[in-house]
Amino acid sequence: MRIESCHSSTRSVSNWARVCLCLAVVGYCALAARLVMLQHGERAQTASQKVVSQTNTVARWTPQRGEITDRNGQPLAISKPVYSCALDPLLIKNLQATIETIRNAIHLTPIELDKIYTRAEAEGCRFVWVRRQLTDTDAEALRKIKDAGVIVQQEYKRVYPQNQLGAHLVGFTDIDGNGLEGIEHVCNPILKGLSATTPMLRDARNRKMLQNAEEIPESRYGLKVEMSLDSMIQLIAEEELVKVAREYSAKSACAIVMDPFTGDILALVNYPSYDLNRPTLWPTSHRLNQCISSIIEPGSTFKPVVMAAALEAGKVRPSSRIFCNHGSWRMANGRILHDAHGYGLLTAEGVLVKSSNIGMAKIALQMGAPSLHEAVTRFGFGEETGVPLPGELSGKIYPLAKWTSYSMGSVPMGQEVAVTPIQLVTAYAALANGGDLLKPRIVRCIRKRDGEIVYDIPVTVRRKALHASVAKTVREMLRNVVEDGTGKRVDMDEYELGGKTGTAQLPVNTEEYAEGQRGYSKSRYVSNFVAIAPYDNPRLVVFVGVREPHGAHYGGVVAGPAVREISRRVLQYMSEPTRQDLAYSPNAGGNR
Amino acid sequence: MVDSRFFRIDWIIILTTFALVGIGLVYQYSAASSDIFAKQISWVVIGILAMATAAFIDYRFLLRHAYSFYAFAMVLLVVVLQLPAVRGAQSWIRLPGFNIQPTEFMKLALILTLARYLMLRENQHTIRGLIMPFALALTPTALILKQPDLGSAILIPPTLLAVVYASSARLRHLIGVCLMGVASVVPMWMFVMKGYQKRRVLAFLDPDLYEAREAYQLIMSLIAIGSGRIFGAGLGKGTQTSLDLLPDKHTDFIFGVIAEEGGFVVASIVLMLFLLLVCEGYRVAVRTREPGGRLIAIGCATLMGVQVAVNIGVVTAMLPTTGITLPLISYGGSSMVVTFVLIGLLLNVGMHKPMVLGREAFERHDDE
Repeated sequence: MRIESCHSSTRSVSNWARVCLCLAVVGYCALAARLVMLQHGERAQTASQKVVSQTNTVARWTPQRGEITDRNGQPLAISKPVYSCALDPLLIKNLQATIETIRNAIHLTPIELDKIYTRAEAEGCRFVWVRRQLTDTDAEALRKIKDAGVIVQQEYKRVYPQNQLGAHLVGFTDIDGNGLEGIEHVCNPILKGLSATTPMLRDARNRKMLQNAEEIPESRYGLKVEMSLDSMIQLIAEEELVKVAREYSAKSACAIVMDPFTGDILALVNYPSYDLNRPTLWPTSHRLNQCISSIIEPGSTFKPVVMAAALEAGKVRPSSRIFCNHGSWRMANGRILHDAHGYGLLTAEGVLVKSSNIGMAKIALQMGAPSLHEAVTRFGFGEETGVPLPGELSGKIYPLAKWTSYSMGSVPMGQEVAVTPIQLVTAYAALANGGDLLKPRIVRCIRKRDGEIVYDIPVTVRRKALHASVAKTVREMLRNVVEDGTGKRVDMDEYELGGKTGTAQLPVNTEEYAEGQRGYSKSRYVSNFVAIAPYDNPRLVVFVGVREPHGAHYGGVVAGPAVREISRRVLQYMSEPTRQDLAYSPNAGGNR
Repeated sequence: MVDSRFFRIDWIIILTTFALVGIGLVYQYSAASSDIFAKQISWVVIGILAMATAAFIDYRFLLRHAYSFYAFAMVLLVVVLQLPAVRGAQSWIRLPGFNIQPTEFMKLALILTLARYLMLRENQHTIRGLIMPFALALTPTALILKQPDLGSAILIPPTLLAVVYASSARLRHLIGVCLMGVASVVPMWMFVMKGYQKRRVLAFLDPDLYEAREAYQLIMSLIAIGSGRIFGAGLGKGTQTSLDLLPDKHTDFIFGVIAEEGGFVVASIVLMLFLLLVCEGYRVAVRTREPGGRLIAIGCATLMGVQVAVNIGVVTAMLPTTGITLPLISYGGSSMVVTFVLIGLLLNVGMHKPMVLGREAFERHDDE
């Protein structure tokens, strides 16, 4: 037995201690070696690069899309902040459970569910939409979900507060805010603004943090587009057009109201129309803007243009006498022209008032083909008006070389030419404003968000189509058309309108062709009416065209009353003094 | 009147401990929220009090009651399995005001119990002599595995081996047991391990394949460590940390934060301090002739050393993820207090060096 005290443990260290110490030292050296391996050389380099690549990101800032307003600042299209919900599958621990929580918050259709699952389970996927543009209650419910992988982010939704109003002018956007139709499409870059990117740091939940906040310059925001449209006038026109189209069970109809001095389109209506907030619920055919993208034979509404050209050329005077052969005349080429009613001697004015085909042909013959062709093109037929909307057609005027002897009988009564309603309205506006052929204006100005005008779109005169005095003469003739010609139904007590009816037959369709009909259909018409209101102090040019009306087809009967109602209501809305007003206060006319 | 024992305190252990706690707090300040940082400070204070208590109660008193502690810890381990799971594991007993982790209590009880059992016996060099200590250690291990708390369970076998070996077990017996343990991996894999544990191992073996989910933490940790390089990104400037990219950054993966923000320099200093602590623990054991104290010291030093090695091994992707804290540095009350108690026991054994009459403990003579 040895006696030892704890203070004298000088003897050699026992086996166990050697082994334990060795293991400890070796283990810790291995860890240190591992650190060296990780923190030096190539691996450290890669890691540093990864730090940069996984944390540095950019945030894409998308500006709020600019508003579209009417000429009075009434909003037609606005962008409203809404919430959309998406998933980041990488941050979700249990997809099934997360989707179950989402389903407890909002209702998901089986189709939506299916889509989410297929996309979320794809390799490397980091973004799956759950639903976009949520309702407020849904967004609130989803925001309560505490899951790093459920993202509720703000975007903008395009809302059209007036629904169908001005549908064919305003147009609509896709869900990402790209304009697809109308002004939304044409002015897309202006409305959309410029997106910007800012450097950000990204954390594990993909939350982005601004590194150094930088003010986004005003110039990147979307601009406001102010249209020439007047919501009230548009509303009136829509009401009246729908009324007439329903009354005559028309296939389609369109109307244009234009300010003749600026070319501003105050209203442009197509029937049938669609709701801008839900454009996909209507057939795409409803999106056709007939006013600029469909062509018609103008029929008698073309006659004032020919008459104006003849007066301008000095070939006739209003009082020139023209023999109308009592309703049936054989032209030199053997073609026989007919009038609805037979007339004998008519003044040139009378020819227009009674809408005599024979009289018009004789006037045209006096002008000669080259002069007529030149006049028709001078009024802008056969070329695009330049209205800033997609899909404008130029109509069809045959080149002079292709004109036959037939043409001199057809063109004066509005056949053999194809025009768009907007061309017709622009030509009448020239008659109304004293001869200037204008470019129709749809957008009046571009404004900043705060309303400051950035760009004012000028009134563009394309060319001088005729002398002011001739225009005045033609307007007076048009007044007579309404007073005691084919447009009597358009006359009213309040305002003195001048205008012209037109009833064009449509070419036979395949069905009728099969039945043996040739040339023009005997049952399908386009009823037109174009008016200048009031004739002596024009404020409006109003066009209404009704395609394939049933029950009646004369322009004066079908389209005329609609034009009358539109004109009356719009002029009243514009506080234009009525005839009675003028009669009681002679000074009211002083500023004419 | 100052107790003469006071002057026998092992100051190296104390200074090393405080250095580690200090470094830990510095990086907690960077990694954790101010709320958690404040809590951590209070845990450090509680831990120091616990260390003082453990150091000044005579360890022989503790040894006398070791079996009672063990029984109590076993009861807690059984009770906890009856309670609902928290974060997927039945590891916590929730009491008003604080939570108890029976596993941590068992660590202490087991070290004392093994010491108590082995100090009085001398047949550890036979296989029969090993049965009882193994049973004492592996029963609670099985219960801990059931929670499941793989991280804590993995610490017990090395501690057991060290203690048994120091109490004169034969190396070849222990190596044999180790080989059996390795062989048991196959049935463990097939029958015991849960899906997520298997995936962790697979993710560890091939991180790129499991990048998205299982190995995400591992890869983030490697990026954090790698990007730290030699001098680190600087306190609070590690992007993996500040951007929340490294999960559990203030608990199990705090070493990743240290390596990123402090670089190789601070990381290796931490490693060396821990090694110093472990070596000091073994030195205390060697210098203690009294068998119970020696075994306590060996148990404490080994347990701590293995925990540090496993934690850093996990963070540096040398070992599969187990879920284990870095002693003295990770956030967490139980871990902090228990580690301080372990260190307190080391100090305790170091201070009470009782006179022993007799031969070197567990020293077998070749004439046997």
